[in-house]
Amino acid sequence: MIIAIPTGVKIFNWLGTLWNGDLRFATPMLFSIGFIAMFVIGGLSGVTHAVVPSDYQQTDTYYIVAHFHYVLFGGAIFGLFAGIYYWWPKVFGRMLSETGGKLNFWLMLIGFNMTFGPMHILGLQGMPRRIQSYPASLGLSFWNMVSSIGAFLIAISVLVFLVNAIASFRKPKQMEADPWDARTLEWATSSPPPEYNFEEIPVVHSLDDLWHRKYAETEGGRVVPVAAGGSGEAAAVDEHAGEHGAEGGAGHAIHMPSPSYFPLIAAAGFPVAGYGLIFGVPAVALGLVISLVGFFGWALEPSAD
Amino acid sequence: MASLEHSVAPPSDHAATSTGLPSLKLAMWLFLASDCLLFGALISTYVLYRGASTTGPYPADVFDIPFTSVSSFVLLASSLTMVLALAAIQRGDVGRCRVWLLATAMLGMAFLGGQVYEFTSFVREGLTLKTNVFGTSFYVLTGFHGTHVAVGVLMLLTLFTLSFAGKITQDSALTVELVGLYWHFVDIVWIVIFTVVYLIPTGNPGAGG
Repeated sequence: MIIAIPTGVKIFNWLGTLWNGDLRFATPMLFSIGFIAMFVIGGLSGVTHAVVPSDYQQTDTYYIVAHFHYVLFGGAIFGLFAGIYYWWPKVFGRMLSETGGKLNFWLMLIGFNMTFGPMHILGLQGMPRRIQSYPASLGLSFWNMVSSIGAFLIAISVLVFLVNAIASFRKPKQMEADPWDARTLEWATSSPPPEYNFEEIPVVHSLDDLWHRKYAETEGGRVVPVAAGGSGEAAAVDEHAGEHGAEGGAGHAIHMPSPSYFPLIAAAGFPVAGYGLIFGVPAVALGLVISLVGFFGWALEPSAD
Repeated sequence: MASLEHSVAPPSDHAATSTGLPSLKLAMWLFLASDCLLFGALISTYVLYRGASTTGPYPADVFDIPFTSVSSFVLLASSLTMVLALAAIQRGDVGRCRVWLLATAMLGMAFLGGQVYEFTSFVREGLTLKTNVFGTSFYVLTGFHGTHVAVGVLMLLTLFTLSFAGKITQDSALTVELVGLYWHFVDIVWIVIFTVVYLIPTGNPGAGG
């Protein structure tokens, strides 16, 4: 109950967000929907553990492995890939290929279900976890073979992603600030964003502020683009920049810390000291000395401006 | 302490935030807040295990209250010299500031010396980190506090050394003030530790303390 109810609420949140929306099935959306569907399957098989007689049968079998992979792989990996495809242009200023993304998604979805779906059956047939090999006479071979093929499909799908990622760097930067026509503010600044994110912190007037800067609703409830602004560039932000008198004129007065290697040195000392706690006190002293050098160098370093 | 609260940040390149505080000062307060959580956890642990040791030595067997009172007084006195150091640098009196910084560091080191002596004599009486839950929670708590004092001494000595290079001037009063905030915090924590650990009797069944 403690797990099922909040999780159910979250799933209805996600479905409610999608409901009645004008959905575009781009790669991030495919992964998001894949995530919800797979996660629900994992959740439902999880509910069966709550029934004591069936749990008694399932404990330490491949049914459990199937269940938690639907939760972890379906819940985390699919969501992770949705995020990677969605924010890749924000981070690198380049889109990942949609064709590659869709190939990645379908291979992963099919491979994933081939790998972990049969484990439900295997588990219910009594195949225990954490055993290196099973005699063929148990009759578990067929579904295990399906599982193995599925695992290779997952590997291929990840390979497709890696190729896609590398290929995206071979293309020139697109510099389009808002490729998804998004609603949230991180797309209001350029992609990739400048180190200081915004020259002027945007003033938010409504929920989904970026959307409302781009679109208005007519009296009949129809959505129409706002004439100026539109998508792309940080124009929408600059509109508001004048409102509360930017002190440095057009916002060039942003003070960034000087780049420095000393924080890196300071951080490098800690793993050394940490290993020292396991392997011997001299390394602790060495690590702390390295960190101290970093701290003092950092503190005493003259700033560039 | 009052002078700390009312001091105005000197003009410097540390831009004020929308809170009106220089960002460095805000960062120090945030750090101290997180340090409160650390010591809160350690003190709670000590209190939770108070009187739970099944073997000795018990607190009443090892504590030397007069000795620790003296070293506590030494540490508290260092808060006074810290305030004087800050007041001096805010007047622009680098020489006087330097003297008080060194005095603060010396008092801190005297406290640390007392703690080293105390730990050694406790170990000699058979109380180690592994002896009982009193030993574990006591050494972890006071050890963390001692480490904080040692870091503070290091910062004070750094300021002292920098002052000879002409790097501590009236403009850098904020730096002295930040070290001061840290130092007073460490002192205040010791007041709590001294009261909770040393002064309030545990009433161990075995020791009757």
